[in-house]
Amino acid sequence: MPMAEVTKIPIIKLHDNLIVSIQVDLSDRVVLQLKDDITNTILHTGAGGLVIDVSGIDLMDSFITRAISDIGKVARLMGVETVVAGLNPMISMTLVEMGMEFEGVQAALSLESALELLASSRSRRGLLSSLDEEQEQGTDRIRTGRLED
Amino acid sequence: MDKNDRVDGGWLERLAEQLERVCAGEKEVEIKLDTSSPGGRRLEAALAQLVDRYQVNLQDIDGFHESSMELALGLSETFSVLDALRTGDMGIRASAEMLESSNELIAQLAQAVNATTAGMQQRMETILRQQEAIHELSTPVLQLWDDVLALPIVGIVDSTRTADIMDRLLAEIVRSQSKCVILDITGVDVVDTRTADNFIKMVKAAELVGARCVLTGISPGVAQTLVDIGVDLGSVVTLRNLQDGLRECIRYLETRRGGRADHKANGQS
Amino acid sequence: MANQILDTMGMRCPQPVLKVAAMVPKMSAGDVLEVVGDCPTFEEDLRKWCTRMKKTVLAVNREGKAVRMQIQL
Repeated sequence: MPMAEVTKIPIIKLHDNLIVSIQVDLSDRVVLQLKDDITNTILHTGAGGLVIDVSGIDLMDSFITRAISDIGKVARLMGVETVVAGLNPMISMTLVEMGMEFEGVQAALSLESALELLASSRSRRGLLSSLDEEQEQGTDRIRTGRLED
Repeated sequence: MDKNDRVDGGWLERLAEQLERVCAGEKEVEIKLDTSSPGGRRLEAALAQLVDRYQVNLQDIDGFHESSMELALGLSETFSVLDALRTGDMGIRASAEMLESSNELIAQLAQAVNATTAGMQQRMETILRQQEAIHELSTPVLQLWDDVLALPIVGIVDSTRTADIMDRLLAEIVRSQSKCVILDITGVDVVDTRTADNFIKMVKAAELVGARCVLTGISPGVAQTLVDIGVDLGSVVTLRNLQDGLRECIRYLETRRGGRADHKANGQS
Repeated sequence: MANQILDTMGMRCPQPVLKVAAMVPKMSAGDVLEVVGDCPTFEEDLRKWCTRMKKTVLAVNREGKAVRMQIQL
């Protein structure tokens, strides 16, 4: 691979969802490029869901989990829900044991279950309606954080 | 000296004393020798003339001193006014004393300085008025749909603007009885923790008066910045753009109108 | 105690006054300026300046022919 070129990971659009399959080594530059590509695609196509397929990754480490969490958070801000697919049980156990986790991103075993998850998720049921539900059930998650009144 | 000159002991001393006083700059010294001798009288007259001339010239010098002092004070004041102007005090003016100065140069300078500061003050006031007008224009509250308000926010969102936006937004929500608000921040390029907090405040405020609020128009760059600086928007719903926001609001309103369905039992979209 | 000292020895009035005026923008309100000068009308001129510019004379000391004044800006 020539040094000047950054590998572009292909993004596939399937109906309302985007599918990204990671088959190459992730470096800072590759992750950055991927983030840009995903967010620009979201911007231009209006996708509602994102699936990141990691079945092609041999070694999961904190860098990769952080990168995927990052992508998930950025996508979420643009109204897109992310699911990680292709984690085999062994890797999942390792991640749990090592205390690494995906923030803001759900996990599914296969691509199909990932797509099903997205279909039935709250972005399909209605984001605002879910807030009403959460409020009724007392699980209102609006943080007061640093708000001063 | 001829025999007619009477030299009394104090004569020369008195003369010396008076001359000393003249040299020291006293201006009211009269040469008086009290001599009856013609020579003495001629000396007295000559010295008196000399002293008068000297004293008149001293007065000239005093006059120069006074007018150059007046100049110095006037210039001093000018420095002071210009300096105050530089620090932003546009209400500063040259004093009446300066305007009425006996030195014409200073009086003219005072007028020029006052004209300058008054001009700057006027221009400043115009700029402030224009800024306010722009401010008013920059955050309109739009009725986008039945029960849906949209608020496109452009530019910098500081605490003053936030307070102002919230005032107007809440008033409008109550007035129009809207149930949904779309806060569109496509026009906001710079987002930091404070700005993000301000948006959260606006959403919370809208909820308090009974309206659901969504945030739309977060660009890829802004989204990345928010993640980088670790801002947590909690459960604030964020969507790509205004259209997505409107779609979500309409869907929400339909759900509400149709009564609360049991979503748990319904896995289909 | 003084924040700045200005030497106007040998200068003829009203030059010392102008020098003092030029110092003001470089100092802050409340600062103390010490000025020494030997022109005959030095003290009188400086007092006039202080009155006009609303500054306070803190101290006046005579040192032979010279006068040393402390002014609060």
